[in-house]
Amino acid sequence: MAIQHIQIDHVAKIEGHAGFIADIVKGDVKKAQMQTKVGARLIEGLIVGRHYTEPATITPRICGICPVIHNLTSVKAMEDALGIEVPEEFKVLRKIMLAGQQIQSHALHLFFLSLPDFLHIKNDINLVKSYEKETKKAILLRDFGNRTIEAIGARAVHPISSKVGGFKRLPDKYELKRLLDEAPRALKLAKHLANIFNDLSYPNFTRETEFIALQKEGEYPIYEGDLVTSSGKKFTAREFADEVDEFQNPDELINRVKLDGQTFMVGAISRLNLNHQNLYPEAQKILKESQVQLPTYNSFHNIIAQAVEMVHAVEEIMTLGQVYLNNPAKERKVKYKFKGGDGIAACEAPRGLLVHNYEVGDDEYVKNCRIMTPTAMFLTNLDEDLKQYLGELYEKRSKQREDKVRMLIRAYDPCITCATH
Amino acid sequence: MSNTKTKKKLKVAIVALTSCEGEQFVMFDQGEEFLKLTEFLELSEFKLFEEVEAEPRYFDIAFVEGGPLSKEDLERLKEIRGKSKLLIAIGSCAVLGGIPEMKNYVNKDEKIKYVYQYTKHINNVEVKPLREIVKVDYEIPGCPMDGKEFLRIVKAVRKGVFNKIPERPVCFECQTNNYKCLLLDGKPCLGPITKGGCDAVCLYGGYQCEGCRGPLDNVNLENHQKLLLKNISKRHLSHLLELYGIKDDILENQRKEK
Repeated sequence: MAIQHIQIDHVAKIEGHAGFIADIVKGDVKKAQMQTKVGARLIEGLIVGRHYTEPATITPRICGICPVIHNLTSVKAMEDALGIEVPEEFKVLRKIMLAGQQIQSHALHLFFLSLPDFLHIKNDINLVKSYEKETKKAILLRDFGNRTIEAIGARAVHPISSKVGGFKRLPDKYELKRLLDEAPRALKLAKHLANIFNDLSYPNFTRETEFIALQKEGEYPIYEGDLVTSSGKKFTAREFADEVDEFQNPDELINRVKLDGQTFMVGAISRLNLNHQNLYPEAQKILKESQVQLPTYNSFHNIIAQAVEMVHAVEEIMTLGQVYLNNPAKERKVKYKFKGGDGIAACEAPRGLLVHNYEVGDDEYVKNCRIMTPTAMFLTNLDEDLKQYLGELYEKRSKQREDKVRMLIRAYDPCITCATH
Repeated sequence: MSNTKTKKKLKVAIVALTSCEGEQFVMFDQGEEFLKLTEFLELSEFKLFEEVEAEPRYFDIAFVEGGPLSKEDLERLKEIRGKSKLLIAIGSCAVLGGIPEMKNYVNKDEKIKYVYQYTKHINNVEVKPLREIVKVDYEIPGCPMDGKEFLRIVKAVRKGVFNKIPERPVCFECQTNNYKCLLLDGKPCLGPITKGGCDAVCLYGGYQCEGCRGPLDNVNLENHQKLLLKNISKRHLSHLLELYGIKDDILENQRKEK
């Protein structure tokens, strides 16, 4: 068989719908491409013409697994457009919310979506049955993440309370304190779960690529910072948005992103490679125990990076929660006089960089909107990885090969609903 | 032999059409309570949870979230309907049209060109709730739906009980919980005309109700709109009613009243 065609109509256990196709001619992988299978919602288009306060409500609906980051990135971009400065206490609350989201998103992906690949389990019900104790731990940890979001945002899926200029409701001190009392237990759970991922055996696969993430001195940043690349470039969010190419292949329904004509990687593995020195101590320990040498170019290590971040995020909640309780916000919002403008923000979603950009007219309505999601940024990098990996898997039986392909796709933790917003 | 073993489990499909898939995460967020449902439900089709080689030919219940925005979505919806004894629409997109239904109120050809360079191959259909396309047996509204309500309904449906979601406004729970009335503050709150059951969570969060659970059956919408127009512009009101896709439902209700 000289020409082989691989087609996976639906990759299960990822967020949103996607398939995969590849052509192999005499062992040479000619084509390897992820195919998104989500309809056109046109969120950016729908936001144009709407009031400037609405993207904070509309954009979380892009994605049910990472609504918090869309909510907050849109708020931050809008504050940039309107020239609003928010006090440190608000940023602390936002960072706590984001840590909560990272815990629930990573715990879900790690335990329920990727782990079964390593255990050769197709149906998670069997995972739940065979690993009852661990399942319970994963659920409890996710719950801690969700309740952290709820304490500040009032609801985990599609948060309510954060708005341009601050909050509609400030968190209850006692509720935050209760969370902090529970945090040591959550940390224990996170470490236990992270250790599971340190003990797995990862496929031996490497391909050099460019890593991009936020960077900020003394922080493992999620909410703010410059954008840096592993080859040493540095951008503001605005420079980055100007520099990248957003492009659509004629038969697709996604605007992919490249930088200097090259694919690049964002997400936990990028953050770990670029910022590991700023992890909290317990997360550092997990990283050390993983024996992963950084920088790592093995995309499967995105799983370890998420596990490390899950521990880090609990430590972040413990640290910032205390910071906030020592110095809580006095007002729930800053006063501002409306003035239109063009604003941009870049934050770190669980799956990587997220950029929101809004131009608001003096009539208070949105004139332009541009959103670049992490999966749109890394999907072409995943194609390149799959192309090389398929070549390396040439000797394997087709069933085995397809399982490995799925495993690599899931290691990336793609979110197709974000990608196709 | 325990009862659960002798009784056959209900075969269930959980299907997402184009959407944020938030309803699936709400289910997941119920943690052990959600997993406990598998004592009497067999998750025969749930792509977030499992990889199946061949999909079963029959489901007792299909939960469908999202809207049929693509040709594939539409085919999938019809296929699932054909295979299922009961089809339950979950979340605002499936029940009302949801956020994507905003498309219906703007020039969607312009909007698609705003977002994509190549558009010929893309379906850019009018957005409709599921019940306008296939027979829907039950609806659980909300953006997202309330997790506790979902669990309650599933447990009742298993016994063949389909309780109608009470025709009580969001204000009922808002007042029971002693939240501040934002309408009195001059905020454009849709609480009085919106179906409750959400525990007035938005009011808890300090935000007005924007109607994601859809309008009540017998309620004076015109009066409420007049009230809101004292504080907000017509454009603002119009946008508010478009947000979760209730504008057409309200117009339809008004037509019926006349």
